[in-house]
Amino acid sequence: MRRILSLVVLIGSAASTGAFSRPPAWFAFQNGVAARQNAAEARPLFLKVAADFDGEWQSSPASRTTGIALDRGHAHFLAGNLPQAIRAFHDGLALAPYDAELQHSLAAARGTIDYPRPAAPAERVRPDPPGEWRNRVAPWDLYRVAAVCGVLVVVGLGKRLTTRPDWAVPVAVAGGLGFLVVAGCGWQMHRERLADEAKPVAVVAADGATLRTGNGDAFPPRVVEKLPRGAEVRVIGRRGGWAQVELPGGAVGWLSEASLLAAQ
Amino acid sequence: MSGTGKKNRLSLSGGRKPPEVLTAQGAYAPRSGWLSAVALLVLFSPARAQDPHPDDAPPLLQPTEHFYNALGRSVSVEWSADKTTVPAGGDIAVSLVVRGATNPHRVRKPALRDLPKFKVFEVLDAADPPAEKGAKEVRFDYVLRPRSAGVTEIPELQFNYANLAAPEGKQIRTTYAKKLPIRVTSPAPTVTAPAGPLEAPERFFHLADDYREPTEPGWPGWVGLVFAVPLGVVGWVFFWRLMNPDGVRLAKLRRNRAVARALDALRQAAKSPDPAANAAAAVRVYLIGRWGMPPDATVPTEIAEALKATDVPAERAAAAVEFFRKCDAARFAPKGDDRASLVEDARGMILNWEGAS
Repeated sequence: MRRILSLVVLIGSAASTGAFSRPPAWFAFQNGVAARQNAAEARPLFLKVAADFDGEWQSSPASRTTGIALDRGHAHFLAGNLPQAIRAFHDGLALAPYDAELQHSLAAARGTIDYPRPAAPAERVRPDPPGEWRNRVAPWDLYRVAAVCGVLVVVGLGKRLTTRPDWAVPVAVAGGLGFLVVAGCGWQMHRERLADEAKPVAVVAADGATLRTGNGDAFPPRVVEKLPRGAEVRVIGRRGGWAQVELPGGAVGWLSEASLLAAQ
Repeated sequence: MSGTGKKNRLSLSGGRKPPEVLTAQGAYAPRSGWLSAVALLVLFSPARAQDPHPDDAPPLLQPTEHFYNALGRSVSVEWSADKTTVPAGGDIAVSLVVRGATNPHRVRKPALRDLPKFKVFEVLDAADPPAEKGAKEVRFDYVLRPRSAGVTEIPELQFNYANLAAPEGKQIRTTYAKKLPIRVTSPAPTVTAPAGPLEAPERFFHLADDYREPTEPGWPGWVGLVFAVPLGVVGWVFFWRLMNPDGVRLAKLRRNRAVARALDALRQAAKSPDPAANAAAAVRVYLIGRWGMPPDATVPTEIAEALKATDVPAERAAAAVEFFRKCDAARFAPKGDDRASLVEDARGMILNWEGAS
């Protein structure tokens, strides 16, 4: 009986985390990990795994989960594709900006990039760490807080309209204030999402990309230092095969679209 | 300028008035003779130096947009490419084939660099095969390099030609080289495998534990929560009234602060070590707050005198004084009244006075 119970618990926990839905590339990844002591042997394995995870990501919207995004990023990074890894992490954060695993992996990937020293604050290429409300609060957490505030309001108003104890009004007011705070957080998160969608993230695909003042090779460079492979920029507009982008520091310039990897 | 251009030839004889020449003051001043005529021919007749080729379209038609000097009744153009798939950063060789032109050796090569649709390509120079007079077709070769992986076609090219046999005003005809789909593939990443173990932060060697699709409450959840609050309040009041039929009257009663405090104090008095004293104190506070009894009345005789000055009816005042005497007896007499019942008596008296019982 105890064995059956433990088996039921195991199956239930596995099903709750989606373990039964692990992609086939999961197993190929483990082969790559087993070969990690020999980089020459491991990298091609991870390259194939990364391609499989990319295919999984592209196959249907239902397969676009934070887990697949994380696996894509890890596989690409181990295969040596740093820009694709960073893009994969951003794809996952677009689904769930609050996901701590994706944030940590993105920070680890950024840690391997040698960002140039900016001549001016606006020319900073190193991105800011995630600090928006969307990166800290999950929508369900906000909902739970709102539900608790709703309970306080119901209890406070219910008591106030019936037996009228002294604590009824303060409780109802506390619940109402909590609702207002939740609404404010929700509004701010909505604004952050709109701002993020208006300027999507793109990743520089190779070293030596030059940020120019116009959409053509004839235009002079906007910043002296060339952008490193894996640098993240935000796309403002596109014209004639060139993308107008904004650096994390705020400087705006143009990059060839061929040098960028856009989010999928 | 019109037609073949011969009409524009200036005659040095024939009695024509000598042309005017611009002076330093900006005004035209007449000059006479050979010198002015030669100056005019040199300065103002560039067509004089380049006679139109007999196989060219008339000069009047040359400035027409997308016109490349092709003549013919029915000219067609099309793109042809050696391949339709090119890796990002690679080149694709394309040819523009013009057929049906009666002057293939005079057709000009379209400058793709100047056309807006072709800005998505970097147009590289390529040598064209020589076109012979009388050839059935002429080819113009280009090397195009897509600027991004998003380029999906070689755009349509508008090609105007002239049919000189058509009536004047309808000589310009238009044909198009249809767009040619191409595919720009991503470059294969270069896998440089250094010797030794694969170095990376340890977290990259682990896969995700959770493959569930992220969810959000969605607007129905939020709307439901907002509506649940008032419904919850209504439900609370409804069920409370259902369970407490006298609750409304009691609730009204408690709206009076003095009454509410007295009832709360009596509830506490029942649990206290000296119920009689606490019950008396509760009733005394009630009389002070509710009926305006002076606060310095503490013993039954003083209370009786004080209540005479208030609005309390005489029988009620007598009942209150009797209650205080019972409390004193319970506290100080050798064998006093049941102290617990005094709390009930006090509560009943207050409810009776407030009309709730």
